[in-house]
Amino acid sequence: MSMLDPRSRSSPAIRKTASASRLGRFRARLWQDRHLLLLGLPGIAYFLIYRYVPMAGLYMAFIDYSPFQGIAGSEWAGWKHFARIFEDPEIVQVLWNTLSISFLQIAFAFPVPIVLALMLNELRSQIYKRIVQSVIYLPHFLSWVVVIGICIIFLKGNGVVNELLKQWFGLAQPIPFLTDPGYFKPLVILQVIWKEAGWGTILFLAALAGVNPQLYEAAIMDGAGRFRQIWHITLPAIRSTIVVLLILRLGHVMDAGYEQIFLLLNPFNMEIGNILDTYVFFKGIGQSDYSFATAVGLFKGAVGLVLVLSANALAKKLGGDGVF
Amino acid sequence: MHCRGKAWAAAALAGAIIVTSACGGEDEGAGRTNEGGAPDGQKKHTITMIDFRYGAFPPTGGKGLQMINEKFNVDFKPQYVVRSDYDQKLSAIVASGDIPDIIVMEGPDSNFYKWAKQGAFLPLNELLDKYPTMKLIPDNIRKAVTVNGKIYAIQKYLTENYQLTPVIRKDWLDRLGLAVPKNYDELKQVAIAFTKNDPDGNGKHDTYGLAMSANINPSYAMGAYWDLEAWYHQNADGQLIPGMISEARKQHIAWLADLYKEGAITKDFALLNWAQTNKEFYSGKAGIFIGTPRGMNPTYMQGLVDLSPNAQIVPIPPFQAPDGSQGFVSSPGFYGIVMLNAKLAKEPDKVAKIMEMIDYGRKFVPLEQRNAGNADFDWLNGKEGQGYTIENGNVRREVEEKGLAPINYLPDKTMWAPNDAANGYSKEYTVPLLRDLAASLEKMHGETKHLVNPINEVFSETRAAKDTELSRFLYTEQTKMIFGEKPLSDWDAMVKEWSDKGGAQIIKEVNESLKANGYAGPQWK
Amino acid sequence: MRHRTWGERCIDIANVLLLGFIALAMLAPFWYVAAVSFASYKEFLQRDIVWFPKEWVLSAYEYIFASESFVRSVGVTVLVTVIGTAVNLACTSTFAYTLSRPVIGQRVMLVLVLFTLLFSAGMIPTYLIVKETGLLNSIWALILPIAINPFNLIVMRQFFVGMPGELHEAAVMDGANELKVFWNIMLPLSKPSLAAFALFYAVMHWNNYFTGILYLNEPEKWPIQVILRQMIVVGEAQTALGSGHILLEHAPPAETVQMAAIIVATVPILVVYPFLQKHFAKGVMLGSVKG
Repeated sequence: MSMLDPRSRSSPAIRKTASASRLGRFRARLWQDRHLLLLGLPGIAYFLIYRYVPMAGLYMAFIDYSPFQGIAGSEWAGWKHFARIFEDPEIVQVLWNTLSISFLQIAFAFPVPIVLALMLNELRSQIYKRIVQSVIYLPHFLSWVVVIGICIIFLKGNGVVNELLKQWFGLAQPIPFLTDPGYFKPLVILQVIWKEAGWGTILFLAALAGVNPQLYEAAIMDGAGRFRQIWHITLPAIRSTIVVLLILRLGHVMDAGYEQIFLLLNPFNMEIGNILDTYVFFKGIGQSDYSFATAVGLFKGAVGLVLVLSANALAKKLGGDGVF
Repeated sequence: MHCRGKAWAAAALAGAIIVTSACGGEDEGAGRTNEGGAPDGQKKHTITMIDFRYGAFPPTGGKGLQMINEKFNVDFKPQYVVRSDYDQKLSAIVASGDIPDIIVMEGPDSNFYKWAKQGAFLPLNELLDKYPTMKLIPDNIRKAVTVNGKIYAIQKYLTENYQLTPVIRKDWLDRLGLAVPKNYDELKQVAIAFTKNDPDGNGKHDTYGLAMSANINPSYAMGAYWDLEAWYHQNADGQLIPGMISEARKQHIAWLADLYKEGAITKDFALLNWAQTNKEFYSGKAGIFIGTPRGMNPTYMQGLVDLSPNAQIVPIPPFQAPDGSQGFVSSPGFYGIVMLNAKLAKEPDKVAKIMEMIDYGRKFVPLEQRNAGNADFDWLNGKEGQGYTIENGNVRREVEEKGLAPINYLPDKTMWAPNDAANGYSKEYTVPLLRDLAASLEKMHGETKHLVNPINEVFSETRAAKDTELSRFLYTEQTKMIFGEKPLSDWDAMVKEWSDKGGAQIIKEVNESLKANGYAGPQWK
Repeated sequence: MRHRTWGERCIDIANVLLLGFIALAMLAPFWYVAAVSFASYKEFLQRDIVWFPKEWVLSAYEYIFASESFVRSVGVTVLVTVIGTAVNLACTSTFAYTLSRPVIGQRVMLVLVLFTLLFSAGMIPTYLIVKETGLLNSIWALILPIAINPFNLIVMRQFFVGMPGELHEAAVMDGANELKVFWNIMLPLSKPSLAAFALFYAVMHWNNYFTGILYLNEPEKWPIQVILRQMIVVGEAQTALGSGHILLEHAPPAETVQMAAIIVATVPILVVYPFLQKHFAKGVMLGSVKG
């Protein structure tokens, strides 16, 4: 509309009619979208009430919160809690540990469900596919305590694996899988893959189910082999899903797997394995220090936000859709 | 759709929420407590409580609860939470302003001190001595829950001296022709013998000496002199220091390192959790572990008996220390605390009723009278035939889940015994091996002296804030020394780092507190 | 049927074998847990690792099922899972669809949703809101405060975005408004993603214990995980630097019982999954384009 053309916004009179129009346009748009907004009403209400109103509580990061005194009654603390995160020089190592483990997970553990989903997709026998599908997500249901408990039994100095190595290969000294810092990160990654890859295939399988089989038939008639089909049809079809999941995963880069790592830490790998969450836990143990915990949460979220925004912008630049 | 209806109603309230949540200390008008009008002795009070449980929970409105309501003429409304999540739930409840009348905690942690200082709890100074069982709480023990001169909690009973102390497989000793060790050299020999000389006689190299878990637990301190938690030794400046950094501990770590090299301690103990370490002993792999008269696990013990019917376990008495002292550390003297909501100051009748209820649960019943013949015992345990039965002279109580007895619900059901032996813990076990072991432990504690640990009577701000973090650092370093990955010569550097990170401050605060309390030197009883 | 080349046959076989091997690797620890749960405590003490109990006993399961609170909690959990998942799907799919269309404020709302993924308010503020909305001690406290998972929302929206535009245009030309499009076209075509998220939400409800502990005061209302947690976690908590008398006094049930608890908690979900599996078959979308 010419009235909203910046070039014509020269005189107050025109500007006034322009803004009146803008409001009018806004209301017209609201009316136009009324069905969609109605549809989304439960969601909007939910986020407002149960997610955004409580966010006022993030204020706790800036006070010395005591549940007894409440938010208004607690003393102001400024940036004290944030400063506490950085008060030990070991925080540098801790942050490095956190980021490196997280990025290793993204590099190695993230693609595995995709590959598995593709492999499952290629299976001819539906029965076999169903059986395998049902089995590979089982590890997701075991808690880390159980998984790592079993791991320790197998990998400790006189555990099953070392005993077998001794018997078959005549190993003189047992391999310190659990105490040698060098084994720590690979162990963490392998455990994560083992536990979550199967569960991760579910989303990709759902996405693959939406691919039109006719596309495959057409490609086959054109003489495309299996891998070309995957490359040209399957992958592009789930590309946007992959991108979205990747971006969201980046949002949680400061979460490197608290429960798992906490259980794997011992005096020997502490330096290389201590991540932000365990570091905070050791600092605040037995304290119910909500202010400190909130400050840490804010810090982690801020880092995640930066990464998500950057990744999103990058994805769009590369020609695809970002999350928003 | 439910979402929408509730959503609109709630959205209207949303604006007021921040304001109301900010007034955390005020009564939200939830209406749970009875606002008293004229003090009327016959009025039926509503009493709310929050308490934690490790295991099963009593049901809402069980028979035991009804019995309580009848006897005291109250409407008792308790709430129970799993211990692992108790701190968080308690914080949430306190934050919402709905603090119950009675609050139970496991011990005076930093939350307790913080909230006491902020005025959450009712001071009990005048009240305690009015009730027979509470009067019995010794003065020095009351100090642990005293803040600025005000006593804020009723402490639940714990034996004075029945702590966890080392025990050993007598059948293994006999088979190898060895005696119960009397000093560390002998203990070392025995531990190594257990590892190398096949003490269970099965021809397999599958046993060893000491069972140990992560965090060097248990650390096999054979007396207060070596105990890591005891504040017994002094530093060069004459200040009392925690055992963890003392010279005695250093020697002890060196001793453990030697044993580890010989394979006489659980391999890779730093990786094991407590359950796994228990398994080491009870499956017959390790020959030395710890025990205590009260609260040992019959399932574990039965497992051991099933595997090795000839097993015999005896306690190892404390060793004589280089300075001539001999004896383990005594306990803090209490376990569990009960607080009353400060707002109850306006309702002295209700307070009296609550104290009466608590006091009744702590009544001591001598061992011989624990049957239907004693009215108190019978009532507390839910009446014979309902809440408990007597089998072979032993009391068999119904599971807590059924809630058939008042003790399933009362805030304090632990008898305050006149002395340790009067409890007769050993007699309550059914597994004979356990019964014998507990009895010999009781005997040993009865015959040895115990050090009163001064740390239990003072409070240090820094200690509450940093102790676990600092202790973790010490455990890490000392574990490495035991494994041989760090030389013992790094000890002084370790202590210095501990000191700089806050240890020195803790020592200062504790010593100042002790002086203010009139500490006069180590007490043994 | 098209003739497969020799190379392709090889790949197929390799695929089958590799997946089979992976499946076994994933099954192994689960098998271990199940094996221990059927072993006697004595055998558990004796052997380091129990792959196949010499003696199969049911005592661990008897212990669990003897507990009345446990049996009741199963009923509660089933109720919460069914209703909860329905609420989840309803709220999530509607909002996801709305966000997938160029609706006014779309970008703003998306960013705000994303924010909630990165920043969470914390336990106490959420508790206060739950209390203010009158849900304390009600089953609804286990459903409404977690009605939508932002991650699921964003991904489900992505699925909607990926649907062919022609469908929408065709429906609009037929005179349908967005509500009708959603209900009659988009939703039926979303079966794969709905199935996936139904599974995610159902599992979330089934495994949820903390909201139960936090918001429910009466043991009778507790879901299954709270009951089981009493049995399992007690053992874990004791790895901390604790005092001896507490450790021994509250000793957890035998490990065999803990393992049985895990199996009992997991099996129901395993039973549900096959019903959802058929939605992950190929070609579900086929009918839509032609029709």
